[in-house]
Amino acid sequence: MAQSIFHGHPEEISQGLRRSESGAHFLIIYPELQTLREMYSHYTKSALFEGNEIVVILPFYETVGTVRRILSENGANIDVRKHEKEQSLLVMDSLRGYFGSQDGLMLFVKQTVEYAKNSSKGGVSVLDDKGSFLYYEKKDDLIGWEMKLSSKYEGNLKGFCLYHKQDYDRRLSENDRQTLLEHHGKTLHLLPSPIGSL
Amino acid sequence: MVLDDDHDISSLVKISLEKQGCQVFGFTDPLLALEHFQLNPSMYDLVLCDLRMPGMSGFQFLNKIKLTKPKIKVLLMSAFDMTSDSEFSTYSKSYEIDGFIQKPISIRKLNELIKSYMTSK
Repeated sequence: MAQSIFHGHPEEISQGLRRSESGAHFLIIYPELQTLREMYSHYTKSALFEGNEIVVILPFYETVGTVRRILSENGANIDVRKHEKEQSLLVMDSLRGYFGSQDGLMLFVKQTVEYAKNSSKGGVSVLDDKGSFLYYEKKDDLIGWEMKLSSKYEGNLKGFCLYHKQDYDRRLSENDRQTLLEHHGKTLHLLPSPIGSL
Repeated sequence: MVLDDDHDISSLVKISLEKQGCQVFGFTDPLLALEHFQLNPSMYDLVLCDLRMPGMSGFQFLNKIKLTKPKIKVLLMSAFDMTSDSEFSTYSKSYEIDGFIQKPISIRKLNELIKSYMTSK
Protein backbone atom coordinates (compact mmCIF):
# COMPACT_ATOMS: atom_id res chain seq x y z
CA MET A 1 0.00 0.00 0.00
CA ALA A 2 1.29 3.49 -0.81
CA GLN A 3 2.14 5.34 2.36
CA SER A 4 1.06 8.94 2.80
CA ILE A 5 3.17 10.68 5.42
CA PHE A 6 2.84 14.39 6.07
CA HIS A 7 4.45 16.86 8.45
CA GLY A 8 2.76 20.09 9.51
CA HIS A 9 2.14 22.66 12.18
CA PRO A 10 -1.06 22.43 14.26
CA GLU A 11 -3.14 24.79 12.14
CA GLU A 12 -2.04 23.17 8.87
CA ILE A 13 -2.76 19.68 10.16
CA SER A 14 -6.11 20.80 11.55
CA GLN A 15 -7.08 22.27 8.18
CA GLY A 16 -5.96 19.08 6.46
CA LEU A 17 -8.11 16.99 8.78
CA ARG A 18 -11.09 19.23 8.18
CA ARG A 19 -10.67 18.82 4.42
CA SER A 20 -10.39 15.04 4.69
CA GLU A 21 -13.30 12.98 3.41
CA SER A 22 -15.78 11.13 5.60
CA GLY A 23 -14.39 7.76 6.53
CA ALA A 24 -10.87 9.09 7.13
CA HIS A 25 -8.87 6.98 9.57
CA PHE A 26 -5.57 8.74 10.16
CA LEU A 27 -2.60 8.33 12.45
CA ILE A 28 -1.40 11.51 14.16
CA ILE A 29 1.93 11.63 16.00
CA TYR A 30 2.38 14.61 18.31
CA PRO A 31 5.66 15.77 19.90
CA GLU A 32 4.24 17.13 23.17
CA LEU A 33 0.95 18.22 24.70
CA GLN A 34 1.16 21.92 23.84
CA THR A 35 1.29 21.18 20.12
CA LEU A 36 -1.55 18.66 20.37
CA ARG A 37 -3.64 21.20 22.27
CA GLU A 38 -3.19 23.78 19.51
CA MET A 39 -4.22 21.26 16.91
CA TYR A 40 -7.34 19.95 18.65
CA SER A 41 -8.41 23.49 19.59
CA HIS A 42 -8.28 24.59 15.94
CA TYR A 43 -9.93 21.40 14.78
CA THR A 44 -12.73 21.33 17.34
CA LYS A 45 -13.63 24.96 16.77
CA SER A 46 -13.81 24.49 13.02
CA ALA A 47 -15.65 21.15 13.18
CA LEU A 48 -18.27 22.50 15.61
CA PHE A 49 -18.89 25.90 14.04
CA GLU A 50 -18.19 25.38 10.35
CA GLY A 51 -18.94 21.68 10.00
CA ASN A 52 -21.82 21.36 12.49
CA GLU A 53 -20.14 18.12 13.59
CA ILE A 54 -20.06 16.14 16.78
CA VAL A 55 -16.53 16.02 18.21
CA VAL A 56 -15.40 13.29 20.60
CA ILE A 57 -12.02 13.74 22.30
CA LEU A 58 -10.39 11.01 24.38
CA PRO A 59 -7.23 12.38 25.99
CA PHE A 60 -4.77 10.30 27.95
CA TYR A 61 -1.87 12.50 29.06
CA GLU A 62 -4.10 15.31 30.27
CA THR A 63 -7.29 15.26 32.27
CA VAL A 64 -10.77 15.80 30.89
CA GLY A 65 -10.87 19.00 32.93
CA THR A 66 -7.71 20.29 31.26
CA VAL A 67 -9.10 19.62 27.77
CA ARG A 68 -12.30 21.47 28.67
CA ARG A 69 -10.25 24.40 29.96
CA ILE A 70 -8.03 24.49 26.85
CA LEU A 71 -11.08 24.47 24.55
CA SER A 72 -12.75 27.28 26.44
CA GLU A 73 -9.68 29.50 26.62
CA ASN A 74 -8.48 32.16 24.17
CA GLY A 75 -7.94 30.75 20.73
CA ALA A 76 -10.83 28.31 20.58
CA ASN A 77 -13.21 30.18 22.92
CA ILE A 78 -15.69 27.31 22.86
CA ASP A 79 -18.62 27.25 25.24
CA VAL A 80 -17.76 23.74 26.37
CA ARG A 81 -20.65 23.33 28.79
CA LYS A 82 -23.20 24.35 26.14
CA HIS A 83 -21.77 21.99 23.52
CA GLU A 84 -21.55 19.11 25.98
CA LYS A 85 -25.15 19.71 26.94
CA GLU A 86 -26.15 19.72 23.27
CA GLN A 87 -24.14 16.52 22.78
CA SER A 88 -22.02 18.06 20.05
CA LEU A 89 -18.87 17.77 22.16
CA LEU A 90 -17.81 14.88 24.34
CA VAL A 91 -14.58 14.65 26.28
CA MET A 92 -13.81 11.34 27.97
CA ASP A 93 -10.66 9.90 29.49
CA SER A 94 -9.15 7.43 27.01
CA LEU A 95 -8.56 4.88 29.77
CA ARG A 96 -12.24 4.99 30.64
CA GLY A 97 -13.26 4.92 26.99
CA TYR A 98 -11.23 1.83 26.16
CA PHE A 99 -11.20 -0.07 29.42
CA GLY A 100 -14.06 1.35 31.46
CA SER A 101 -17.10 -0.40 30.05
CA GLN A 102 -18.00 -3.80 28.71
CA ASP A 103 -19.77 -2.41 25.66
CA GLY A 104 -16.65 -0.51 24.75
CA LEU A 105 -15.95 2.51 22.69
CA MET A 106 -16.92 0.98 19.36
CA LEU A 107 -20.61 0.73 20.27
CA PHE A 108 -20.61 4.26 21.65
CA VAL A 109 -19.11 5.63 18.42
CA LYS A 110 -21.66 3.71 16.32
CA GLN A 111 -24.49 5.17 18.40
CA THR A 112 -23.02 8.65 18.08
CA VAL A 113 -22.79 8.32 14.28
CA GLU A 114 -26.43 7.21 14.22
CA TYR A 115 -27.43 10.11 16.47
CA ALA A 116 -25.57 12.55 14.19
CA LYS A 117 -27.42 11.17 11.18
CA ASN A 118 -30.82 11.50 12.86
CA SER A 119 -30.18 14.99 14.17
CA SER A 120 -28.88 16.47 10.88
CA LYS A 121 -25.34 16.85 12.16
CA GLY A 122 -22.48 17.14 9.70
CA GLY A 123 -20.78 14.00 10.97
CA VAL A 124 -18.67 12.71 13.85
CA SER A 125 -14.96 13.22 14.49
CA VAL A 126 -13.17 11.11 17.09
CA LEU A 127 -9.72 12.13 18.32
CA ASP A 128 -8.46 9.45 20.67
CA ASP A 129 -5.12 9.06 22.38
CA LYS A 130 -3.89 5.47 22.28
CA GLY A 131 -1.56 5.99 25.26
CA SER A 132 -4.05 4.14 27.48
CA PHE A 133 -3.17 0.79 25.86
CA LEU A 134 0.54 1.32 26.39
CA TYR A 135 0.05 2.46 29.98
CA TYR A 136 -1.25 -1.01 30.86
CA GLU A 137 1.39 -2.59 28.62
CA LYS A 138 -1.27 -3.86 26.21
CA LYS A 139 0.67 -3.25 23.04
CA ASP A 140 -0.63 -6.37 21.32
CA ASP A 141 -4.21 -5.37 22.19
CA LEU A 142 -3.54 -1.96 20.71
CA ILE A 143 -2.28 -3.38 17.42
CA GLY A 144 -5.18 -5.86 17.44
CA TRP A 145 -7.68 -3.03 18.02
CA GLU A 146 -6.23 -0.91 15.25
CA MET A 147 -6.24 -3.85 12.82
CA LYS A 148 -9.89 -4.55 13.68
CA LEU A 149 -10.78 -1.07 12.46
CA SER A 150 -11.09 -0.47 8.79
CA SER A 151 -8.54 1.74 7.00
CA LYS A 152 -11.56 3.74 5.87
CA TYR A 153 -14.65 4.02 8.05
CA GLU A 154 -18.17 3.63 6.83
CA GLY A 155 -20.70 6.40 7.39
CA ASN A 156 -20.09 9.96 8.35
CA LEU A 157 -17.21 9.29 10.70
CA LYS A 158 -13.62 10.48 10.86
CA GLY A 159 -11.24 8.81 13.29
CA PHE A 160 -7.90 10.29 14.26
CA CYS A 161 -5.63 8.05 16.33
CA LEU A 162 -3.30 10.12 18.47
CA TYR A 163 0.11 8.82 19.51
CA HIS A 164 2.61 10.72 21.64
CA LYS A 165 5.94 10.63 19.80
CA GLN A 166 7.72 9.07 22.79
CA ASP A 167 5.17 6.26 22.87
CA TYR A 168 5.40 5.76 19.13
CA ASP A 169 9.20 5.76 19.04
CA ARG A 170 9.98 3.95 22.29
CA ARG A 171 7.11 1.61 23.03
CA LEU A 172 6.38 0.28 19.56
CA SER A 173 8.70 -1.89 17.51
CA GLU A 174 9.71 -1.06 13.96
CA ASN A 175 7.34 -3.78 12.84
CA ASP A 176 4.45 -2.32 14.89
CA ARG A 177 5.07 1.14 13.48
CA GLN A 178 5.10 -0.19 9.93
CA THR A 179 1.87 -2.11 10.56
CA LEU A 180 0.16 1.03 11.89
CA LEU A 181 1.48 3.17 9.11
CA GLU A 182 0.19 0.82 6.44
CA HIS A 183 -3.19 0.43 8.10
CA HIS A 184 -4.06 4.13 8.34
CA GLY A 185 -5.08 6.24 5.36
CA LYS A 186 -2.50 8.90 6.24
CA THR A 187 0.18 9.45 8.86
CA LEU A 188 0.49 13.01 10.07
CA HIS A 189 3.44 14.23 12.14
CA LEU A 190 2.56 17.31 14.15
CA LEU A 191 5.35 19.87 14.39
CA PRO A 192 5.48 22.55 17.09
CA SER A 193 4.24 25.94 15.99
CA PRO A 194 7.03 28.31 14.96
CA ILE A 195 8.09 30.63 17.81
CA GLY A 196 6.13 33.86 17.73
CA SER A 197 3.21 32.44 15.80
CA LEU A 198 0.88 32.25 18.80
CA MET B 1 14.26 12.79 42.36
CA VAL B 2 11.20 14.46 40.92
CA LEU B 3 9.97 13.17 37.57
CA ASP B 4 7.00 14.70 35.78
CA ASP B 5 6.55 15.15 32.04
CA ASP B 6 5.06 18.56 32.83
CA HIS B 7 8.11 20.80 33.18
CA ASP B 8 6.24 23.36 35.30
CA ILE B 9 5.32 20.76 37.90
CA SER B 10 8.76 19.19 37.97
CA SER B 11 10.37 22.63 38.49
CA LEU B 12 7.87 23.79 41.06
CA VAL B 13 8.24 20.68 43.22
CA LYS B 14 12.03 20.74 42.88
CA ILE B 15 12.26 24.38 43.97
CA SER B 16 9.90 23.92 46.92
CA LEU B 17 11.75 20.84 48.19
CA GLU B 18 15.09 22.60 47.81
CA LYS B 19 13.74 25.37 50.02
CA GLN B 20 13.13 22.66 52.63
CA GLY B 21 16.82 21.74 52.48
CA CYS B 22 16.59 18.70 50.18
CA GLN B 23 18.96 18.16 47.27
CA VAL B 24 16.64 17.52 44.32
CA PHE B 25 17.16 16.44 40.73
CA GLY B 26 14.21 17.20 38.48
CA PHE B 27 13.48 15.42 35.20
CA THR B 28 10.76 15.42 32.54
CA ASP B 29 12.01 12.43 30.54
CA PRO B 30 11.83 8.98 32.22
CA LEU B 31 14.76 7.61 30.20
CA LEU B 32 17.10 10.43 31.23
CA ALA B 33 15.91 10.14 34.83
CA LEU B 34 16.51 6.40 34.83
CA GLU B 35 19.97 6.79 33.36
CA HIS B 36 20.91 9.34 36.02
CA PHE B 37 19.54 7.16 38.77
CA GLN B 38 21.35 4.05 37.57
CA LEU B 39 24.63 5.95 37.44
CA ASN B 40 24.11 7.60 40.83
CA PRO B 41 21.86 5.41 43.00
CA SER B 42 23.56 6.42 46.25
CA MET B 43 22.56 10.06 45.70
CA TYR B 44 18.86 9.23 46.00
CA ASP B 45 16.70 8.51 49.05
CA LEU B 46 13.27 9.07 47.52
CA VAL B 47 11.73 9.18 44.05
CA LEU B 48 8.53 11.09 43.33
CA CYS B 49 7.14 10.36 39.92
CA ASP B 50 4.11 11.10 37.78
CA LEU B 51 1.84 8.18 36.88
CA ARG B 52 0.91 8.85 33.24
CA MET B 53 4.00 9.69 31.24
CA PRO B 54 4.69 9.08 27.57
CA GLY B 55 7.44 6.60 26.79
CA MET B 56 7.29 4.87 30.16
CA SER B 57 4.55 4.88 32.80
CA GLY B 58 5.22 5.74 36.43
CA PHE B 59 4.71 2.07 37.35
CA GLN B 60 7.30 0.88 34.85
CA PHE B 61 9.74 3.59 35.85
CA LEU B 62 9.53 2.87 39.57
CA ASN B 63 9.85 -0.84 38.91
CA LYS B 64 13.19 -0.22 37.19
CA ILE B 65 14.27 2.10 40.01
CA LYS B 66 13.53 -0.63 42.58
CA LEU B 67 15.60 -3.13 40.61
CA THR B 68 18.63 -0.86 41.00
CA LYS B 69 17.97 0.12 44.62
CA PRO B 70 15.30 -2.09 46.25
CA LYS B 71 15.06 -0.13 49.51
CA ILE B 72 14.50 3.28 48.00
CA LYS B 73 11.19 5.00 48.78
CA VAL B 74 9.04 5.54 45.72
CA LEU B 75 5.90 7.67 45.43
CA LEU B 76 3.49 8.03 42.55
CA MET B 77 1.48 11.17 41.90
CA SER B 78 -1.33 11.81 39.48
CA ALA B 79 -3.92 14.39 38.52
CA PHE B 80 -6.22 11.57 37.42
CA ASP B 81 -8.68 10.01 39.81
CA MET B 82 -6.90 6.77 40.58
CA THR B 83 -9.91 5.32 42.41
CA SER B 84 -12.13 5.49 39.32
CA ASP B 85 -9.70 3.38 37.29
CA SER B 86 -11.01 -0.17 37.62
CA GLU B 87 -7.69 -1.84 36.83
CA PHE B 88 -5.57 0.49 38.93
CA SER B 89 -5.89 -1.30 42.27
CA THR B 90 -5.13 -4.70 40.75
CA TYR B 91 -2.29 -3.36 38.68
CA SER B 92 -0.73 -1.29 41.47
CA LYS B 93 -0.57 -4.33 43.78
CA SER B 94 1.99 -5.94 41.51
CA TYR B 95 4.37 -3.03 42.08
CA GLU B 96 6.11 -1.98 45.29
CA ILE B 97 4.88 1.58 45.66
CA ASP B 98 5.31 3.33 49.03
CA GLY B 99 2.59 5.90 48.49
CA PHE B 100 0.21 7.66 46.12
CA ILE B 101 -0.33 11.40 45.92
CA GLN B 102 -3.44 12.84 44.32
CA LYS B 103 -2.92 16.12 42.46
CA PRO B 104 -3.79 18.91 42.87
CA ILE B 105 -2.03 19.19 46.20
CA SER B 106 -0.73 22.27 47.95
CA ILE B 107 3.03 22.69 48.10
CA ARG B 108 2.84 22.83 51.89
CA LYS B 109 0.99 19.51 52.07
CA LEU B 110 3.34 17.92 49.52
CA ASN B 111 6.39 19.04 51.51
CA GLU B 112 4.87 17.55 54.68
CA LEU B 113 4.17 14.26 52.92
CA ILE B 114 7.67 14.02 51.47
CA LYS B 115 9.15 14.80 54.88
CA SER B 116 7.07 12.08 56.52
CA TYR B 117 8.15 9.48 53.94
CA MET B 118 11.79 10.54 54.24
CA THR B 119 11.79 10.09 58.01
CA SER B 120 9.72 6.88 58.12
CA LYS B 121 11.53 3.53 58.23
